[in-house]
Amino acid sequence: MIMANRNRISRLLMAAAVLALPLLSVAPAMAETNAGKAWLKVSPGRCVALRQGQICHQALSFSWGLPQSGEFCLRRAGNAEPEVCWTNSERTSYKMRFESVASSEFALVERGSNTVLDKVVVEVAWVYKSSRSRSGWRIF
Amino acid sequence: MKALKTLVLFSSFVAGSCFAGDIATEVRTGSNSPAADGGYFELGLSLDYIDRARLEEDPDDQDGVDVSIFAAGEYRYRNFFIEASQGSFDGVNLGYTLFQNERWSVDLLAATVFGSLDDENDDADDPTLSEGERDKALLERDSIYIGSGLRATAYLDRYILQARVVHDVYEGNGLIATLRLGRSWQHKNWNFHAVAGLEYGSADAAEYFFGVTDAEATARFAAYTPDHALSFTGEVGVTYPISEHWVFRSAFRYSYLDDEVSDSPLMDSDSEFVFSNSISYVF
Repeated sequence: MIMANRNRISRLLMAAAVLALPLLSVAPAMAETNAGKAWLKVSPGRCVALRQGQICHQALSFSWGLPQSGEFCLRRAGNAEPEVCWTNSERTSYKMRFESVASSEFALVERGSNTVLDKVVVEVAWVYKSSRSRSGWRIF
Repeated sequence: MKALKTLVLFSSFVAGSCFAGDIATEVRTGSNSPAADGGYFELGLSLDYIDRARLEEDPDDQDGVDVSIFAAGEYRYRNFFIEASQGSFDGVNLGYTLFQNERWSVDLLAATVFGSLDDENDDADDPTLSEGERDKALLERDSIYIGSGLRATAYLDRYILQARVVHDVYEGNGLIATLRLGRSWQHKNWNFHAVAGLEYGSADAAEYFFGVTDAEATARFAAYTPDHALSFTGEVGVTYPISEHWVFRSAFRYSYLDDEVSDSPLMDSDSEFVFSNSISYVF
């Protein structure tokens, strides 16, 4: 009875080991894949103003993942100065107040080389179409 | 069936506040220049507290909370426009823009329609009716007004100044002229606004809305003939874009009526206020 149980347990252990093998071999590959690509996310990705042309206000929260150590920055397209810079993993998120009349692109870059690792767009939308003027008299 | 035969457009005008034009729409959306071609349509739900100046048939309706579903919109194409805005001082405007630049807009108003119309209403001067039926008919009598005229609007930074003159073309019920000043402020994505205005109604217009003829007079409602009247209305409010299609609005509107209006036996007081809160889906 005891022998039979030992055999059953050993067979179960072997089966578990066989099943686990592919997982053990895949796990490093997945880690390598995640680690190999930097990513940047922003929440929310959209700012809504009442009328087109108004300044849209929104609190944004950025987060990112980096595969290697180094110095990095979060840059807003068109701005000379980065929003924030950091070294290695001393910072993994950043909050800022967004104020803009148009959509803006933000990029995660390597400091120095300015190589873009990933980028996101914060869209500005509105409820009512903007006014625009025409001029002149129109009599039927 | 009766409801299907009833047309009600901005009944609060008939209640006393004599106002016109759609400056409220402009300041609520933070506009600071004349509108472009295109438009919008919206459906909404409104929760309002109203203290009415005009007498209601049912005293319980004199003041209280109203819940209503509304449809509104605006559309412009090649200078032709139709305006049926939620929170408007007007009703429905059909017109044509004669002149427009960055600062000014001059509109021909082909029709400004407001008031109520019910083809099942009894005539208040019908001598075959009982006294009680005539009282009811008087309180519910038609008040439709279809005006034609001109409207001029000046856009001065965050201020909007609007003047308007219309004359009733439906039954020749007089002239209404308005002058209003509005301003908007944006704080973050909240859009605050304020509007103050004066409205003049000619003697014919005042008599149409607030007069009681000898033939209509009853023991409860004595004959009354008002002269021309000048009333004041002010509004403050806020509009917030919840999302690209959903909008929240809140506004407080107060009207102070001329003695010529408030002295009418059809009136309950010399002022009226509305506290309105709505949420709408904008297409």
